[in-house]
Amino acid sequence: MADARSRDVFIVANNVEEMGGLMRFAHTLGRLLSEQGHNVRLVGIVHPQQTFDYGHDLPYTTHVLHERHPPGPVEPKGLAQLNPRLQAKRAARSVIQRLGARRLTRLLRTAQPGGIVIVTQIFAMEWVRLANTHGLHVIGMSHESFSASKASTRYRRVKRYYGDVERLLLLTQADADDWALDGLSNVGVMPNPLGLEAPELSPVDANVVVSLGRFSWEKGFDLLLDAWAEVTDRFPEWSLHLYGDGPDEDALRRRCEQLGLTTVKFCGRTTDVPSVLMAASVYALSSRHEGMPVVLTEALEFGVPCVAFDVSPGVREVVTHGKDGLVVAPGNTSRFADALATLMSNADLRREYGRHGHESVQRYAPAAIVDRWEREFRLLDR
Amino acid sequence: MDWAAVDWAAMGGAGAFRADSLGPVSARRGDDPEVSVVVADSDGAAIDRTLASALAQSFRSLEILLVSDNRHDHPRVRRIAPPIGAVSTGDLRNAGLDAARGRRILFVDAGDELHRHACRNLVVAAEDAGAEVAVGRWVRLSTAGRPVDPPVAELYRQTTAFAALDDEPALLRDAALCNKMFDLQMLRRHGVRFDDNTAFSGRGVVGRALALAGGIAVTPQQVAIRDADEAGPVSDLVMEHRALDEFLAGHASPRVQLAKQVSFLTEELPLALAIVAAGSDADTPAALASLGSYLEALPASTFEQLEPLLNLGVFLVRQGDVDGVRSVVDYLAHDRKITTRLVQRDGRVYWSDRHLDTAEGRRMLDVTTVGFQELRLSQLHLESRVDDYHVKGARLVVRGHTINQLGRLPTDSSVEIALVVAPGRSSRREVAPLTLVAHTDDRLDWEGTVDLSSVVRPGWRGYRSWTLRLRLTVAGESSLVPISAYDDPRIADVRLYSRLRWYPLGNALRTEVTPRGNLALRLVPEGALASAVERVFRVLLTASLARRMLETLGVLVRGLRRLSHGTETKARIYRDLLVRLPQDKKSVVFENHMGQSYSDNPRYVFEELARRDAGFKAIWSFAGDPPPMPEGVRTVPRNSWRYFLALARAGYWVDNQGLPPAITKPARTRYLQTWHGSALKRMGEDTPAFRSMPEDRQERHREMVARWDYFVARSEHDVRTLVPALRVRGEVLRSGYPRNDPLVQLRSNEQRAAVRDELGLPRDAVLVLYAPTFRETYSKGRQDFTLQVDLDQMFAKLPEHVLLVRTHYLQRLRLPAAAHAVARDVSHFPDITPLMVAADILVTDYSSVMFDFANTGRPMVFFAYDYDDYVHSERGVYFELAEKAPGPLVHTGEELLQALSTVDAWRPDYEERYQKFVAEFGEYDTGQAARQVVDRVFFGSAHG
Repeated sequence: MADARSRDVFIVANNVEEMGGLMRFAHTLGRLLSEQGHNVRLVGIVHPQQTFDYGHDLPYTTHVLHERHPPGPVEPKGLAQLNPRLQAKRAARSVIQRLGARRLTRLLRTAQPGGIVIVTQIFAMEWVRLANTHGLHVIGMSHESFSASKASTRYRRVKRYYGDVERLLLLTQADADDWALDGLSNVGVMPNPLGLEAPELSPVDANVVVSLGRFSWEKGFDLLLDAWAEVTDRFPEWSLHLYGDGPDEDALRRRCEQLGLTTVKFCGRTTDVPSVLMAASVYALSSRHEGMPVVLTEALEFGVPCVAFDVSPGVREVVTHGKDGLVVAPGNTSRFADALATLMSNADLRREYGRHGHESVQRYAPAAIVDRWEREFRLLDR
Repeated sequence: MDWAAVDWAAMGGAGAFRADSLGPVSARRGDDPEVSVVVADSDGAAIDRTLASALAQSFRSLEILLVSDNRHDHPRVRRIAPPIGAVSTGDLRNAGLDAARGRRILFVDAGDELHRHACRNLVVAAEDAGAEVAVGRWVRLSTAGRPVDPPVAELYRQTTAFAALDDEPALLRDAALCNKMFDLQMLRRHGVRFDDNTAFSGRGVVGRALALAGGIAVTPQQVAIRDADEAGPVSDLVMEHRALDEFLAGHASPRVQLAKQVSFLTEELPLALAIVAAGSDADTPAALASLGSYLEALPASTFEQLEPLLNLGVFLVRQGDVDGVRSVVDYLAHDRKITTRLVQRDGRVYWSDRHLDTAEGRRMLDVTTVGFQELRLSQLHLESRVDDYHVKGARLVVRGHTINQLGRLPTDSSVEIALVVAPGRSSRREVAPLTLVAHTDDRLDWEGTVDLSSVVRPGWRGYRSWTLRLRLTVAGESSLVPISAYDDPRIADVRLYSRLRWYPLGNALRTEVTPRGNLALRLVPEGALASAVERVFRVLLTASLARRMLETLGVLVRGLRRLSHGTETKARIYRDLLVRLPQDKKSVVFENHMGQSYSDNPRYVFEELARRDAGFKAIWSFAGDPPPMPEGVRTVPRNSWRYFLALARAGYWVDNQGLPPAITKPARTRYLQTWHGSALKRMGEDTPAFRSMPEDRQERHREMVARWDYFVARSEHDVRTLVPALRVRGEVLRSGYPRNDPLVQLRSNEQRAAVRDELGLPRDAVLVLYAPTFRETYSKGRQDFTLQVDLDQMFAKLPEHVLLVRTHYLQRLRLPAAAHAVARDVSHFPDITPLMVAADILVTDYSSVMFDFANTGRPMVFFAYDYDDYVHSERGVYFELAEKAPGPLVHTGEELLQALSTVDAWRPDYEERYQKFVAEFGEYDTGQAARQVVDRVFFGSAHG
């Protein structure tokens, strides 16, 4: 693209060292922008509990504002507002926050005018707004659906802290529209880039259904087991492989026993997603909450058709029902089971869906997403 | 004025306009700006706000063109001198249009405010879609300063793009100019200019540009706050629309032309009528004439989709009937106020007694289908006015009249009238009774005295305004009507009474006319001293310290109130204290659907128990106002202290849905769960919603159910489905539903006729009870329910039938504006059982009433217009309705009418299925349910 002006870019997240999806996104974006010639710095507010090694020789630098985790937010309600001890705690946190913001300011002051600050999470925004961002463009991001934000404390904070940023980028057009109707008039759309590239499509002929994710309530693996229970008798040669770990693992194993399932395999965590997808025929997403599920884009990139609950606009933006996957009413495990059966019984259909899906997700290819980012940067200068 | 010195940050707007975005202009040197913003200075006072909003734009590649006489300069504003001579807004805009250099152009009027990101968002929308016109959402500010969407905002609910206006002609409905960004070359290429001879030039350009645009992009982001619509004489409006019509005839498809006509009729005609109605008597005939001639020239097809009252308005305009037009405006714009006198003739209801001499007049004025004659007293707005008054000391003596529309207040009935005075936004009321002086078929005259000093009290809340309404009560029904005062100078702004006691808020009570034209009272300070005191007081109240103190006080008060009123506290005290009180073994607490009404199974259990006369004391819980109850029955408000106390001491609990989960059941209390319907839809643990819940919430549900000692079942189907789905642990009583006993017992024609009389339903019509079920969607809250039946067709095909529509309590029924006398809303009847006894035919879809009604043996039709959606994408079902339905399953309104008109033909075909249906889903409904349940639960005999 024309006019590849090199800028200073700061990507600010809660932390930049954990393995979670958002952190991976920050590193991916950092790498892509560095490859465009920008001077990228990743800034984490805190250190996470468990760090992940993103490697050395990164084309960007990483920084952390607080060596020790600052105290959590103090927001007393009702009569508690008159409690002097809580007010003191609130004041103390404010002081520590401002110190961290000052460190951030020092970092930001090294940038040329026209630099960009990308704030990936609302928690981080509390620091950015206290820092001096004069001369820089601040872009906010929210990586969850509007309805998920609305149902949590993040709704209030998004309206309060992201209301004044120059652009707030959401993962899907539908979410951007929801925020626009709710009163934010600075919204735009920026999907996540594909983190993987498929040299060839999965043959989708193995009798395997896979699902990857954290074993927690949001990811809904218990619903997946309920659905599997309805379908496994008809397809005794097929098995369900679950990749991941988390607090609910024991409960899920017990549920398997209760339901009398014998074809479910707990495969632990994996870092080799491509191999898993190449050996799979169907990808199942049974989450109760999602933003824009990156794992669906990855599955389609490898030509693996998807079955998913329609829990957020992001699901439908990635998967086109009837073309590269099947989208089912949230929580309706019987319908989910029917959808799985439809794909499990028809290899031609799987290949057709897989091909369509691969074509469709090229719009999330890194090159395409980087172009969109460059356009955002240029827009802020106009 | 010196703009450079103005503090932009302090200037208005909803906090979206910030001075710190005034950075150096980064427009490339020598290059033209991308966007031109033309500000036409048509109103000097409001121009500052508008200009500030343009200067505060985040998009910086723009030029601001101010077309104004004002000489002062600002570095970022290009001032364009308007042409010499009397200039219209159109001239000013054209001057800006001619001087603009940008690629795109936006026009704002004085008083409009652009959102900070308006230009950026519109440019992005246009570029993303490759469109020549980009449109964003605009809002108005309410009196409280909050942004309010206008009706046209429904066009802007999502980001979309259209190749041309033909793909979405409804966009023409929005005549606003400032929310649209145009490609300048497109305007110049087609020679689009603003008319200089009307006050509505913006409307004309909007219509033309949309019709010519190669691509229209829509964004839901808010781009502007508009002060007011374009306004001017009606003749200007007509002239502009004639010009636009001519243009569209040459440049747009018939579809677009029709849409423009319809949009004129629905959006602008009511406004035009209001202008005419409000105008001085000198201008009105000319305005009416010009509007009338325009309307006459419109093709007949444009009026087909119009609501009947608007059509009536059009007719009256053409007749030059100013009073008639005024009355239509009152109805449409002032809360359905009926200021005309409706007349009844030959069984039809007419808007007035004028124009009835021609067939066309009778057709246009016929408002029988609107259903005024069917409206309940509380829905009918009876026009009331004050005729005379005087004040004696603190006493206001008032005399007035109320129009007795259609004789709704019969002369032989006793009518009670009272004056109700209520402070704004409070539920407290003071009632002063009035006496009826004269009562004819046409009007009621009343008079009375009101003691102002006792009725009007500012109180510690500091009320300053009170509404005045008339309460008319006849035969148990009452209606609250406001008192009209809008063109009555005698009463409009009069000082009634003055009193020192009301300091510091004011000392004089005056009348005032509300924006809706109704009479109200207001407390104002009068005199220099009083005004000064009031001003000081107001300043003190709003001062920051005072506000902080008041907030703290508010926090304290709210905290205390929550402590004393909150359900959690009550529940805790219930558990720790109340259940230790001695039990009253003979007391029984009854509740129906969380206190909703007096009906359903608990009612019939209660009635049976009362018949036994065995010394049991009944306590009924209600969520709202309790209905009249038989003697000796106590009522308690749900979730009140008395409620908790009654539950704690009761010997028995009887309910049909579930008492509040916080209430644990003492072992000494017996809990009879009668439940409220057999299941077609999946329930409880079988639903996706339940499965989606976290484990601890699921446990809480199970604990709630574990309280039940007895559970009533109507069939083995219930035992197979409900018992495991709800995880019922108590004893299952196979007795049938007490509420269905009347359905089995009252089958003779005399009994049914008696029930019809009691309900006020016609004896000799064919009553069709339509009871649809609630459709769950992903959005919560009350839903609007629209009837999928064409009532005109029904009236034509089945004149003997009356459709009784009863919606689920979570739905709001909207009968179409021209609701027939052939359809009636019976949703407010507390108990559906008598309706089922009275009905000849039941129409339902997936509601459990189908199981109940089967007990009557009368025909049923299943109107499942969304069968696939319902069965497949929502909760899921226990059996296929299509396989077991004991009546025809229809999918459209026409099919339904067909089925209703051929009942005798298909009834025998379903006979076998019907028998099977009753056997499977109602095997235990033998009419003895209440007796069996009461025997078992209260008298301990082993039965069921």
